[in-house]
This record gives sequence, C-alpha cells and structure tokens, in this order.
Amino acid sequence: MPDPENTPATDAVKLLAEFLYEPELNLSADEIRVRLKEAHVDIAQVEKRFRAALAQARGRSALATAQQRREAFLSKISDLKKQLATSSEVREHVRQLVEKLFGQEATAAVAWRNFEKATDDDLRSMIEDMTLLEELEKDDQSTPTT
Amino acid sequence: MVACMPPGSPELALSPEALAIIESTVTKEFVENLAYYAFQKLSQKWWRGVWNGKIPGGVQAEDVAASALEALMTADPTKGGREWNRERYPDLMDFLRSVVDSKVNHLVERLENRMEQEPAPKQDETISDFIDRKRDHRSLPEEPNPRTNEEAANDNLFLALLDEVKDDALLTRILECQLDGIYKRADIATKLGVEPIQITQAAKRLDRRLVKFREKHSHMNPFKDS
Repeated sequence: MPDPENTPATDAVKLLAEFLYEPELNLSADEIRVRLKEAHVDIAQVEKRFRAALAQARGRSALATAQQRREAFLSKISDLKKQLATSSEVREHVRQLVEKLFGQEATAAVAWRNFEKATDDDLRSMIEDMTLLEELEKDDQSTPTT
Repeated sequence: MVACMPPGSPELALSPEALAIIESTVTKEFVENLAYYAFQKLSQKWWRGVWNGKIPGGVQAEDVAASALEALMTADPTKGGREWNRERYPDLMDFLRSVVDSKVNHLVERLENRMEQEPAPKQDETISDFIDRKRDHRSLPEEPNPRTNEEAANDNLFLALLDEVKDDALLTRILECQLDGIYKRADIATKLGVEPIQITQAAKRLDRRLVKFREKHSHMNPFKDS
C-alpha cells in the first residue's frame, strides 16, 4: 500500500504553482491595473474597507491621546497636593504666583494683601485650578488642529 | 520605533504619527499593488489552481488585501490586528506583504483541511445511526486515503503535462526542475544557465499552455471542480 506521506508528484505540483505565480514585484502601475482587471479584482471594495478602518483608527488614537493627557493632569495635581501639604508652603506658592503675574509692580503688594485674607483651603483650590488652566493652555498650543 | 501608543492607552491604538504616515502612503496605486500581490500569493499557494485554473470559490484577493489593511489599522493583536514595527519594516508595503503572506498561508491551510473528506451518511440512514456508526470506527469501511488519490492524480497530470510541452525544450527542463525541488525562477535560471527573463517568459508561456491542457485533459482531472 502506498505511503500517504510520500507524495513526490503532489510536491512537484506545489512547486509548479510556486514557480508559475511567483509574485512579480517590479511591475508598473499600468501593468498591475491591466492584470487586476483581467483577474476581476474589485479595488473599490478594498479602498472602501480601508477608509472605514482608517476612520475607526483615528477615533481610537484620539481617545488614547485624551486618556494620556488626563492621566498626566491627574498626576500633576496629585504632585501639587503633596507639595502644598503645609500652610506656609501654600502661602509661599501663592506669593510666587503673584510675583510671576505682576512682577515688581505696586499692584503686586495689593494682590498679595487680598490673598493673605483667604483660607489655606481656598488658596490650595485656587493653585490647583490655575495649574490645570496653565497645563490646558500649554496643551492647546502644542496640539495641532484637525 | 513601533507605530503604536505606549501602554496605558485604552487599547493598543496607532500613534498620530503612524496614522499620518499610513494616510499619506496608502494611495489608490498602493492599494492596487497590494491587491495584486494578494492575488499572486493566493494563486501561488493554492496548488490545485494549476489544474483547475482558478483560486478557491469564495476566496478573493480583495478580501485578503482589505483584511491586511484592516489588521494594520486595528493594530491590537488581541483584536485580530497586526502591530506595525517600523524598525523591522521601514517600508509599509513590505510589512503589509508579510501580513498577506501569513493570511494566505492560514487560509490555504484551512481550505486544505476542509478538503479532507469525512464519511457521509448512507442513503436511508438516519442521522443518529450515522453518528453511532462514526463513533464505532470498526464499522467504517477502509477508504483510500485522500492524499493517495491526490498523489495518483497529480502523477498522471504532471506526466501528461510533460508530454504536452515536449516540443518546448526549456519548458520540459523547467518542469524537471520542479521534480528536483527547484522552483524559484532565479534558481532555475542559474541551474539551466539561461537569462532570468527567459524563465519569466517561459512561465507565461506555460501558464497559457495550461489553459488548453486543462480542456484537453479534463476527463482525467479530479481537481477541475475543486
């Protein structure tokens, strides 16, 4: 009885198919178009499915970017909260912010006096909001419009 | 650098940079090139096509090409995607061709497995009797192995083809190369000491002659309807 694993003729036919239809990679665009037409290959269907997949990929990519930004913000806020653990640090932080905004102008002293009346919690909340706004502005400037 | 967002993303998604490259690279011409590659690969791997002149029913090159592009865009391997490693494949077409190769190989393997025929119910046999009979292998008649049948058919057809092209010395020598396990056009050209272009022309000649051969030998061709 013949051994079903010993198939020299079938192997030769497999190699014949490999030989006959060896991909030709250097054909011109026109030659490819002609051959696709002969083989009745529907390119419009491929393009349509690609465009749909592209739109979905754009959505996933935007979602992933947004999540990364959100995680970065949360991480910064968490760091800030740790830094502002004591009241003296809160007040020092606000003083630096006021100096940054008003420089050496006389209004700086007025602004600082107003903040001195605020509670530590109010100051913490204000610093968090200002930091978030600063980050959002930076992010808007670095994100290209679509 | 890989083309995906770093871990921590809601799912593995293409980076905006990779998306921009893909959008500008995948033109209509690019899609045509990929689809033609898929067509050639299917023809190359579905060896029965040598005798029946077509790729299996229901399997189309456009499906394979579109599916490779979808895998690229999905990226996440857990969702059937393929992650484009731009260090390994700087050329997007090279990457997509590797995806097509893998898809065609799996597809042909599945089709080959489907060709393995299972015992069928006899006329007037109920399904439950048939299932009982299938469970008891001793009751099954010894059927010839499908591979043995295929081998005999391939042997007959290959010899007939050799006879058919005996007027063309180069084609005869090329077919002898297949019997010796040499099948790449460049290797055949080297072995036979001829220019590669002559081998390419001979392949086209043989493909044309196969059309007539199939008609002439359809009576001895069990692959014609597969």
